[in-house]
Amino acid sequence: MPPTTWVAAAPDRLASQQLDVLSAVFDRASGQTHLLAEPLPQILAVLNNAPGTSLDVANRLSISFDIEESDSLAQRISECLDELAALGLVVKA
Amino acid sequence: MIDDSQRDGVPPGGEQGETAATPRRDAGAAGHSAARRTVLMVGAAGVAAAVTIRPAFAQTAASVFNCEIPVPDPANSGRYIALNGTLVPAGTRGAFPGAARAFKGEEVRQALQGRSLPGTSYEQGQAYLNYIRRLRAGQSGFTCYASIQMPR
Repeated sequence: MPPTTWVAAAPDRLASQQLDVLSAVFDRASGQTHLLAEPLPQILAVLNNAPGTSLDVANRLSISFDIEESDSLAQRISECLDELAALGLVVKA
Repeated sequence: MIDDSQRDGVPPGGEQGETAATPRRDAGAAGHSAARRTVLMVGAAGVAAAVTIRPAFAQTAASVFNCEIPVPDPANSGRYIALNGTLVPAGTRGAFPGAARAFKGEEVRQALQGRSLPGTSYEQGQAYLNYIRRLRAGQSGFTCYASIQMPR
């Protein structure tokens, strides 16, 4: 089975505000506000206008951040994408 | 990996107090960026990284079955709905006239999961769903749509 490609919600649908280590993200489509901890805001950012798989996300994050390499990193990114999908902030392409 | 050029560089716009949560999307793009890299905390497996604040109207679960979404809203009755969900002048080629009746929240919820909207062709249903996805606060049907969107 090919890896899932993820698409982020259109930026104009969301209003974001950094709150110290959290990001408050208001979704105009659902009327909900989500408080996101790392690495969810960063995952949304790297998917912005550039759909990608969990591997793409890991690669893009590693360009901008130091991430502790581990066998479970891809699994963790995949978990985070599932969590963002449950919030409606990313969808499968 | 952090190379020396990155370690020694001054981050562009890297004012004090910027948190590790701020993405540095330009950092390291060419392998010699001046941006200092930050450590991203990915968290432990199985630990939720999000909390959702639901508006009060989300508490009325029964409303999903009974609430209604007119397509289009009464203020725009007479306009057609293009396949991408935008409102266009009546008679526009490839667009559809508004639905004869408002859809129930439950009908829309099921349509979002792949069922067809009652009384619509496939493309017509997609146009209506795209219209519904574009609803914003203040438009008729938005509260109903928002209720459907609540994570369970």
